[in-house]
Amino acid sequence: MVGAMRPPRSSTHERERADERERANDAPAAELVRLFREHQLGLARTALMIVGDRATAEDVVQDAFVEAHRRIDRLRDPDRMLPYIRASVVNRCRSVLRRRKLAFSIARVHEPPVWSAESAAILGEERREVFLALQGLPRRQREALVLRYYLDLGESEIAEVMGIRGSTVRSTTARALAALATRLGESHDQD
Amino acid sequence: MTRTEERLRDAFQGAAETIRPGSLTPLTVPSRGRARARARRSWGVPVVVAGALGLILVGTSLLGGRMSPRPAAGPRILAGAPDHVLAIRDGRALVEDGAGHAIARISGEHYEAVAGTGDGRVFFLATASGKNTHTFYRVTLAANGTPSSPEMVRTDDPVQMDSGLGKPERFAANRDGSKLALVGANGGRSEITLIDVRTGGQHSMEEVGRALPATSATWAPDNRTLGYIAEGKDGRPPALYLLDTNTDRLTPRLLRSATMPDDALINVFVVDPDGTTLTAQVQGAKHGPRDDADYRLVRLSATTGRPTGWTARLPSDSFFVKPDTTGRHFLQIIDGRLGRVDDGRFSWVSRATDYTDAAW
Repeated sequence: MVGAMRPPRSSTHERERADERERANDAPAAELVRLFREHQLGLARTALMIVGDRATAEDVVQDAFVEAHRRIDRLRDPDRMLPYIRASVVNRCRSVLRRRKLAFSIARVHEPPVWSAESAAILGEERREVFLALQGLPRRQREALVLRYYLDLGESEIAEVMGIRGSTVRSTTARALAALATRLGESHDQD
Repeated sequence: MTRTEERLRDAFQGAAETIRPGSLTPLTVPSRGRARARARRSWGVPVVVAGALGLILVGTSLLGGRMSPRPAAGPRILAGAPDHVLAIRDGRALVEDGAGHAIARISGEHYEAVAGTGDGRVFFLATASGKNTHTFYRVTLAANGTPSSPEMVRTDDPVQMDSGLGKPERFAANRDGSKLALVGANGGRSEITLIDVRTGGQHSMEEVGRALPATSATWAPDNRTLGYIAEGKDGRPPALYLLDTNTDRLTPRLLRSATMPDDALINVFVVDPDGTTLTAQVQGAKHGPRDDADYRLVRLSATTGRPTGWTARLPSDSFFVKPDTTGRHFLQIIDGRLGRVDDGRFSWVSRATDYTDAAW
């Protein structure tokens, strides 16, 4: 029996299909490259506000991008990549701070934070005072303030990064500002 | 906007500016394995894509010709030793693995010396920027050994040291990277210069009554005590001194004489990372028709200066000892060749003979 033969595909057609597939597969990687170019500095600075020292902040961002690359086949929606990486950075900062609580047993030292006395000459006393007050706030309040007042993220974006509800972001930020004002000896009335 | 919000934004901005654009380490992503490529055929040519991505990521962030070809951690000779060594070879600064293989080159040339802070990440490089003047750069290594761009340490005035920064150990950084120390000679006199990395301020102490330049700069883990070797006053034998650099009046404290029993002599020493011991390179008494001598690394008590713990025999005179963060591993440079002492045992790292300085 002679079966029906499928018409041979033209090599051009196959090449086009292959190119198309490759372009589709390349797109998330290209997007990651673009995000890295555009956001590495901002994210490293954000991490710096939370962990305090540049070297750790840089590592945190590096690790977040490496992890994103490792999982790139799950990050096919380009709009989801930046929130994913931001959340990854914040989560890694939390891990760093948790590990530092155990630092006495590891005896691993990190650079003095940007708000340390040694850095006063660079940052200035007034700014240092703000950071020291910030350090007295609960971790979630600090994160909310950094995301709102450094990264200028909106309520929904902060909620996404921190993994909490928008209403919680609102109340957390308000409480954080009030507590910060008290610590700085300022009135918290809106101008 | 409230005053608190204004101050918050201003403080964040101020802190953010401490990380300058272009000063961050480029990202290097690991290659995706072959097994993974087979498992996910839909990726098309994943190895090629991953490779291209790696090149793009690294390439887009390279500044000033920095090379970062294959920043994977190299093989360790012994477990527990640092992954990376920053070596000065023929004026170039290279990141190498613990076995002498180059991982990356740091941009710039004419480097003279390197000092590590001991955490394996932050290093300071020194170059000769003019006649007897020196410029310093801070470099940070990522976990995979990729170096940052050298960031210049700004100083109020040019930093002078006539004796240069060669061996034995005239340049050291303290552990938190806030201070650099240069010991040597300036204007024909023994001098110690301290540089505050954050403010760029300098503080120099002239060693009155010493004809020979001070050597062997080493920082204690308290980040404030500097150790060095200097000739005793009025031509008396050399001795090991400790200097508290946090006081306005710099007054060194004598730790012990550099001479040991049987006419042995301490050429160079470091304060070990735990602060309780010192590791010293000791030259034994000369003997025989060719003035042969034995050379060894000796562990001394930081309190009494007396020998304690292990002794490691060295093949020749090194005038060089650089500890890692554990105090178990030490780099050696002997006749331009890199070696190391691990738990009291010496071994060569490389056959190359162009090493002028190294740190980890």
